[in-house]
Amino acid sequence: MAKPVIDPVSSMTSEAALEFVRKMQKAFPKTPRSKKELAALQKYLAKFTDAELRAVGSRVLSDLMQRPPRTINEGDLPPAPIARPEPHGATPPTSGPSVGAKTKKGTKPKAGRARKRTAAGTKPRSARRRARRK
Amino acid sequence: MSYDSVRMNEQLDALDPSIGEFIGRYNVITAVSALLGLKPARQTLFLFPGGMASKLKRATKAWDPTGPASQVFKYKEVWVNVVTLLGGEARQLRMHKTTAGDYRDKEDRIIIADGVVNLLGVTPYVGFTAWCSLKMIDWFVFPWDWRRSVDDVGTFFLDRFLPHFQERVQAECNNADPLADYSLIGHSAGGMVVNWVLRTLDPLPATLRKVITVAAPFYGYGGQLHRWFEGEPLVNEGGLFTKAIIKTISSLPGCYSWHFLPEGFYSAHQVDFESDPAYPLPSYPSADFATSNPVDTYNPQPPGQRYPTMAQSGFDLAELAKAATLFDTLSSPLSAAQAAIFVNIRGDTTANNTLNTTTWKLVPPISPSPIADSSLTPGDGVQPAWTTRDIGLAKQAPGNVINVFGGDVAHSIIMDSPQTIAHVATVLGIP
Repeated sequence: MAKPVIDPVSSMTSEAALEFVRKMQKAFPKTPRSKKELAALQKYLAKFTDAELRAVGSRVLSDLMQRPPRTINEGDLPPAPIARPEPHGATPPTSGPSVGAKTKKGTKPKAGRARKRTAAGTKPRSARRRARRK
Repeated sequence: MSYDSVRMNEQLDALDPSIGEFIGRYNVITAVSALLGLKPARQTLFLFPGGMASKLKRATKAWDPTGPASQVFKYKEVWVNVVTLLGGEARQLRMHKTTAGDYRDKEDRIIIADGVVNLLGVTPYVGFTAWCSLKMIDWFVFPWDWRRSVDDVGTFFLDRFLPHFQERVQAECNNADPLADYSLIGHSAGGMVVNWVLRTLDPLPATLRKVITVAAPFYGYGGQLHRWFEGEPLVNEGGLFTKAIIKTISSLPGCYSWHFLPEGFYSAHQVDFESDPAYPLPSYPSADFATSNPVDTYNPQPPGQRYPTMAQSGFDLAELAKAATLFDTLSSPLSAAQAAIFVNIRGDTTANNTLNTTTWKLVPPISPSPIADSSLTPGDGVQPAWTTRDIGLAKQAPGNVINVFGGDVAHSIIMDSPQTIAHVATVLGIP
């Protein structure tokens, strides 16, 4: 059994945050829009402490940027090699893990250059824009 | 005026209060410095938030093609607050393509980026911007519409925002030029935008000091493949809106650039990926479930048997092709001048629990998802460490690739990490 990972992102796990969100979604199956509905949502959230809400907020924001939310523990899947370098330094390469994927060699890269642009910040704002702001 | 013209004007207007705050901070530092007899070297730092970290607001009424040039709109936040999570509200983020190929927002109700997200009292980058203020760096957070493609956002930044920003600051800060010494820093997908800017500017402005990416996926990650088939569990509402959320995600051009790298690029640079001292990528990260052969996310084979069809989910092969072209730009060879000012900071939580490679079954069926994660690797919990450095930069200027370690460099909080901040300080010459 892998050890649980202590995650400084939030005291709440992905699973717990998802459960919190699901319960809220069941309590509010329609998007609250009216003042009365929004007040009901406020009242619902007031049942929780600020710390609890912040823990949910941190985890949800993290998981949205991540991918389908679930806690990943070391050992859940085959690991890749670990041999950490110094912040700027280099360490000898380690042998790579096999995840079962074969590779093809010899394909040329698509090395297209970026579309060139002039330096930023030198173009005057359009007269139309200026007029609009007056 | 076209939809896009109006949208961009609206976007610029939405940024004006933040420019005003920048001006306020700038003038306070000027006044305090004068009072104390200091002459701090001024430098401006533009921070590009990560994908999904910019707050998005949606107009309460549709753009009227027959209306006046100066249509007035009110906006309501659509991403992300508690309401976004309820009733399938995230479906409002959907876009549609015109016959001319431009993207418009659902129901032609303009969506603009305005600030950084705040969910249940949590806002990213608070620590980083506080540090900037402490060090008298003139900082500006540039919120951007992460649904749009990186080049779309970068073009707006260069062509519309920067000239306007410069003009306003000069007008209200005693003719001080905020671009006399400036840098760009991008977190996560925001790093893709600053990377695009770096590789697109020609010539490089002499006043552009540094371009820094933090936890930016140069070569994609596995999360996006899941989204095409699974949507986003936090807003799917237990399956009630899964199909609609998948359609919404498939309508967003920006998401097509979050894939794993093209297989041809990997093969051509395999030695570079393998020779990353601690974070090698020894094989292409996407493989067929049955054969273990590589499955190119940008050129999926066999045709028609990897992604959902346009009819099923709106998945757009034309957009995939555009994203492949964009990848070419984002991974094009760096000039010596570009490499000299480019810095990549990547995180390794040391938990070794970052999802890495995937396997891919043939479709149909598209449900259950044909995508499965198949290995873990060191990384920041979201992005594998092998994707968050540019291989060209690692060869040309290895000292410009910086690794940070520990729990506080997890993807969503890496910008606020003391290690990250210390490295940024060094890079920018901040004592």
